[in-house]
Amino acid sequence: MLLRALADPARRAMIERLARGPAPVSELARPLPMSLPAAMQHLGILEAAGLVRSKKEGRVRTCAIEPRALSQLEQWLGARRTEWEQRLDRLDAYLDTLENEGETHDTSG
Amino acid sequence: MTQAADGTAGSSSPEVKPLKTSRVLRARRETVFRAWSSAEHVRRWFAPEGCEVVEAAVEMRVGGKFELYMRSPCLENWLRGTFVEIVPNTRLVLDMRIDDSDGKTLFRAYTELDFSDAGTGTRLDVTQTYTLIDLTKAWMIAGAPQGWGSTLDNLEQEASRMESSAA
Repeated sequence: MLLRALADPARRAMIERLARGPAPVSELARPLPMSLPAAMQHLGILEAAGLVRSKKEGRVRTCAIEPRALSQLEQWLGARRTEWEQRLDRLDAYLDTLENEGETHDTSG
Repeated sequence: MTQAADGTAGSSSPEVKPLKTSRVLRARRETVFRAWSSAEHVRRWFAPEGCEVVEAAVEMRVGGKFELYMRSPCLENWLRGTFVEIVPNTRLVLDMRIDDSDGKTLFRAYTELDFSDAGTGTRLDVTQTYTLIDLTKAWMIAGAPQGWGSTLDNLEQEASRMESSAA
């Protein structure tokens, strides 16, 4: 659900905006080429995925990011980072082998 | 603008934020570049630890394949990529996606690699921009093969939490 919610560029734009702080629905919808009801529908999906919560105050519905959902994403990203760190360790080790081979038969690239 | 209510949402944006990392490698630029240039090289270092590379195809030309089929004790998945940009010994751009063994895409990773001189070695800058497609499976990939200690534990916990909340 979480990833499906984020698969849509309009919803990612909303999340990016909300990452800077809470905002009313109208402000989230404004930069997007869509009607307010369409924006509401996207928000509904983000809310259902637990990424965003909203509350109505008078006639204004204000949305905010759900920090716990984001921390899951941060952990996922952290895992990707670890993967790259380890991959670069292995690359560095493998390059020793390649450099030694390169000494004997250099390629033209 | 108002502060985030819990004060916990520290960083700017979620998965849309690209991952950037860099490393100075103890080899010449041509050598580092060459390590990306063929399946024979790539299969020696690219796959996560504990993953067996079953098949690999690397064709270093724009539109050429960069593909690895990887198997670990717990899972199998495809990395399917194509070369988008090639500047010899300077820059590579790869559009990658990770598919599960049924061919279902879990996430995409647009990968930019910049090679530059750093003393007698080479600095490699990696920028990877992700589009996440199927989170529950993506979590499994994050956690299963590496044995990352606490990271792994966290991820497994998160994965099972998400699986159960998705059910």
